[in-house]
Amino acid sequence: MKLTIQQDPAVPETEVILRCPALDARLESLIAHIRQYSFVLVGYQEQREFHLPLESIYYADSTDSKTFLYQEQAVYQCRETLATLEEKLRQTTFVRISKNCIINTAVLHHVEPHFNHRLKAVLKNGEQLIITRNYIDTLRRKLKGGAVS
Amino acid sequence: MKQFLFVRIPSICICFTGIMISSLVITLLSGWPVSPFPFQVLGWIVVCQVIDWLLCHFDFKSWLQYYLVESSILYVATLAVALVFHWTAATVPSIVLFSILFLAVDSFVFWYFYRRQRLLAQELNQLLQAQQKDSEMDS
Repeated sequence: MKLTIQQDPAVPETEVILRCPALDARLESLIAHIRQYSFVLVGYQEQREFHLPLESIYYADSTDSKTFLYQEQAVYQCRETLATLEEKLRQTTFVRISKNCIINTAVLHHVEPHFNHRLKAVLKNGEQLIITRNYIDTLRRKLKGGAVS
Repeated sequence: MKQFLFVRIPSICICFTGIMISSLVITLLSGWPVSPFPFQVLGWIVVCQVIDWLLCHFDFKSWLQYYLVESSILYVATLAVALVFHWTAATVPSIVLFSILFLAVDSFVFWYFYRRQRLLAQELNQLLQAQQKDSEMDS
């Protein structure tokens, strides 16, 4: 793979152009990572607004009709619903692993077997989340670099 | 091993169950006498699934703890049902034989589902490692 970087202060916005003979799973994964860097989510802590880079978010979950964004150590409330977030982040490394949780696969350290046909996702900061059986295939497709319908 | 766990065992079980139920229904509809035993066992297996589903709401610390707790509950309940429906006699040799059979079947079912989950986890971990290697090479 040839990598060319053109630095020009006159350029108004960073643009990434990927030229390839064919789009394979590895490139899809690279594209998902690049898309992440153009995304920012708005989170709130005690009425203060924060613009959170997507790659810093470990997972989002929904409790009592409220959506929360979790970084390595901080938690923010998000005004969007989990379904809206899931749709917005469809082309990134985020994937739904249960009815109330979508996870950033870039921070997923490993997966362990769990009871009742579920799996346990262990994140890079040691946190553990449950992957319910309905979403195991979705996670597998996301990791393979395929589209998640 | 993956095909054996994900395809062969389920196929054998589904086919066997389907054939047995069909045979029983046909025999019943034909007016021939049918032992209630298969229907009682089928009903009890459904109840065991409900017990398993209820127990999965608890957060066990390990598979061993989950296995011991569920197996103990199912053993006591199944023994009671077996005695009520006369699946086994209330004698020591019969109960010992019943217990050995229960332990064999119960352990096999737990092992089967644990292996399936482990294989699934292994597959996902391999995909994760490949993804992480790609990320390191790209950066």
